Amino acid sequence: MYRIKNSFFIVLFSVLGLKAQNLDSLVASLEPKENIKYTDYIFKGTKIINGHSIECTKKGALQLMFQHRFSPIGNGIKDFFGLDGATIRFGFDYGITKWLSVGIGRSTTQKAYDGFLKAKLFKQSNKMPFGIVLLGTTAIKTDNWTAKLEDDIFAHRMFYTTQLIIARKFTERFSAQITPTLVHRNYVTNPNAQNNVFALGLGLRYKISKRMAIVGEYFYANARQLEDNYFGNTVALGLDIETGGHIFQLHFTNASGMVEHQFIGMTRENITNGINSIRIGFNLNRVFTLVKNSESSW
Amino acid sequence: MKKNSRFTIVILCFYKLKKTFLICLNFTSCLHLDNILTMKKLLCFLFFASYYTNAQSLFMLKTSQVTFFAGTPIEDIDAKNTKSTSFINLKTGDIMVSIPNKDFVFKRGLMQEHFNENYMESEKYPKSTFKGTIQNIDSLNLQSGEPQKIAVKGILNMHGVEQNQLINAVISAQKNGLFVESSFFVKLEDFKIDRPKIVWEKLAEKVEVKLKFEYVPYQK
Repeated sequence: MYRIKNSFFIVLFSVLGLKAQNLDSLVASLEPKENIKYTDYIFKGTKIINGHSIECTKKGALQLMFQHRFSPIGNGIKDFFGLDGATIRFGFDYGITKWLSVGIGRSTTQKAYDGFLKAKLFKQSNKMPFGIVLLGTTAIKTDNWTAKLEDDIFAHRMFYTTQLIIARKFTERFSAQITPTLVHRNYVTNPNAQNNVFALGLGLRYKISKRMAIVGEYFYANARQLEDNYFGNTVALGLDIETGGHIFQLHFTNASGMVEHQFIGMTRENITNGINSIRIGFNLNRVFTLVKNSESSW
Repeated sequence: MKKNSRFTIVILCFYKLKKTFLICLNFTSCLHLDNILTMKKLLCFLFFASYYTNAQSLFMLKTSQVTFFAGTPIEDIDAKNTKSTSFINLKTGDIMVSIPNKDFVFKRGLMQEHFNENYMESEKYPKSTFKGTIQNIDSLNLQSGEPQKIAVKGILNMHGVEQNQLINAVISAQKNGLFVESSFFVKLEDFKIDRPKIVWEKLAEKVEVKLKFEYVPYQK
């Protein structure tokens, strides 16, 4: 008797139960659960202003980068706020894989050629509070040798930089980055100057709209490591404007060099001199997708 | 819903009924059911109904492909997503679809960034959903094996905006389930997705969305 009663109720409830079952909750129960939720797009560009940001060129993408730094604005209208004297760097970056990108560049300053390797070590996620990227830059000065002539050998023209880029996107709008840096110069003229320069960088980004952000950057190197007449403070403040495919980065900075060893340790104008140290500058990025993602085809 | 599977159910019903019928003979008095047939009918209905609901009217998404084309003749902006979740209840005609926005894959990584960062705002609105009902569910004749046209009326929730949509699709019975295919247009303005004029990538005013969904019977 109980058996029939039970089976009756089981059947009855299974009918009622299924009728009551909600498609919403069914869908919710089967949606893919992400264990690791990554945080992407911490900064807009691959450079904050002078220094590299945690962002790498995307896989299969070639980025063309034009960078300009003008003379200090202090002379006013005479040289049109420094625009008469421009130093440039242009370069190409390419994303080999999702985690490794390479780049080459050429600067007016020192007539230097530079190349870099940038490797993503960790991505920010719900399990990892910040992302970490390792950057290695090598540069060679090809300008006329001004020091002792007998010292002019190939190795003395080389500069190396290693940076550990640690960044975190705190909110949708606000990101911050700290960048412990080691610059190695193979040759220094002043006996008190160090071949190894330790520096620390700080970068900030605050998005003011979907396509615009205010960025700030500061590098500090103790001036005792540097040669005379060089300052260890590099300050930059800028505006990122993204227009789809292009990123314009307009800024004010006291550094004229655009390679790591130049803006860290080779900044001639101390920021405390105000308008006599501050230059207008811009970075212009254009991305071309060379290798398209094949997973996306229709 | 195939004829042979329905036949199996009937056989199963009879098998079960034979047993219950014999037991029922003893307990009719206890249950105060004068007519054994009533009991029999009831049980048969309940059993069949449960079986029907359980195995044949609820279908879950097995493989899916959602693609969209938002480009213009100058630039192709398209993406693909294979991570959707969906259910169809063929009895009621209810359909529920959920698409994770972050899983749209673009040919160009930069476009994917812009899609997530500027247009869809995937951090804020992680998924797009559609909840609707097949309007002509009663006149559907899937047994025929012919693809059937359906009109699905429901609410599309995208970018935090809910919009009523009438989506036309084609449904057909497959070897072990259902196949649904659809193509429709979504007007970006309706969903408060702005298309800035200075942007180099020219976005289409209306985005063409294509779906290919393969459903299988849902078992817990």
